[in-house]
Amino acid sequence: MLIEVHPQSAVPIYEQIVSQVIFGVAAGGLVPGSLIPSVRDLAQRLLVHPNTVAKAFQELERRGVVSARRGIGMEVTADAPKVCHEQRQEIVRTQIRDALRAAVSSALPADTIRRLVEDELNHVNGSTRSREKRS
Amino acid sequence: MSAVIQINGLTKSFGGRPAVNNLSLEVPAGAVYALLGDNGAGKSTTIRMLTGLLPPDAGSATILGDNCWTKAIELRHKVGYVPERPKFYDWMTVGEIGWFTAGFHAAGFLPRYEKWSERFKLQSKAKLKNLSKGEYAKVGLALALAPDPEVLILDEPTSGLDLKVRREFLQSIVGLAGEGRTVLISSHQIAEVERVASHAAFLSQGRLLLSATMDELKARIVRYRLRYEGEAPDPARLGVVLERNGSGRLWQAVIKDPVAEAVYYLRQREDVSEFEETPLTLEEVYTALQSSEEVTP
Repeated sequence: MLIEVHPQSAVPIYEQIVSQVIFGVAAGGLVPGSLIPSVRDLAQRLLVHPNTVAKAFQELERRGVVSARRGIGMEVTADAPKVCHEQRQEIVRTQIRDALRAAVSSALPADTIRRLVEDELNHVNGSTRSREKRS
Repeated sequence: MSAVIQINGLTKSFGGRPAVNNLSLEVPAGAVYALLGDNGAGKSTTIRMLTGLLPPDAGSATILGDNCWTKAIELRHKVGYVPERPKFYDWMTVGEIGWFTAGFHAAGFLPRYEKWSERFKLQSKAKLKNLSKGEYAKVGLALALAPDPEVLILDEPTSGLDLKVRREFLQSIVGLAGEGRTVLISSHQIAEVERVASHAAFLSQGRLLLSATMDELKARIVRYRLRYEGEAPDPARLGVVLERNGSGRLWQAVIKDPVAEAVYYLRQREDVSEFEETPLTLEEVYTALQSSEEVTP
């Protein structure tokens, strides 16, 4: 599972972890029944306080994405793909809204913003595709 | 549950100038508690009082219930301490300094020291004077961890270390917190403790400006931005104003402990648009607190 955190971001670190796990499930990288890393392992890998990771896992459990399996760890639930498909769109919507707010308050014309969004989308899509080709 | 480190009204002056001024703090178990401030803010003086190297002029500090000054010797076995620039007998090897220091501690010190130095990839036969800065700092940390302390106090542990070693250092701190140990870490490298800390306290000129958990911090210090048409809103109505600026009809303020009701009314004002509310990074909080401090001495 590839998770990255940006402490400088306005989004709290535990929320960054939550949304990346949700994206991971929605994209099919994390399938039901698979185990997510332990709190301690992930904390050391991300270099964040273990409580922060624990808080993220609690939130994921509350949303029905993972559930604890005694003595084994946290497992992706059978319902997770459905839950995550729904939530992915909401998370992305909020992120886009924040970026657009900033763009609008910088007084860029709507057409320019639309063109920038289109450009960036093509750019990102392109780079994902070339990455897929290589692998 | 009582705090692991409890500081009440701690005060220390040098030549009539207060270095630590009526400081009160509580560090709960399992916290990675960041003590932040510029050079001269009082971080090191506070740590020297916690480690029993300095008696306070007034107030008190306890660790695990023991007074830091009157029970200083007992606490040395329960509290690991890495000073800012540790100095050892440089003619000894990595192994020898561990063996030598074990003489001051209970049984179990040496095997734990060896375990930690192995984990830090230190060569037992290497002479201390030939170690790099990073390796030297790791010897300090291994010695501090060898008594298996419940509490670890680190004074500017990463200053002068390169990026890779810093990362390893922070990784071991995260590991220690995962084992339930309590870590107090002083630093002026704010960005790097932002990741690993669970709590932060900001010091300036010996006084505490703010202490909070990292999550609380994002709720307690907020930046508001908006555009208005009529009369300019008064930021003081929202809470304690740390910073304010703006140009034309654009308005911006950094508010400490915003009053939810006042924010709600401002947001509802008919002539207010493009209302934005964003938390600050730790570094921005620090700057905002410092600059407001200069305005109100």
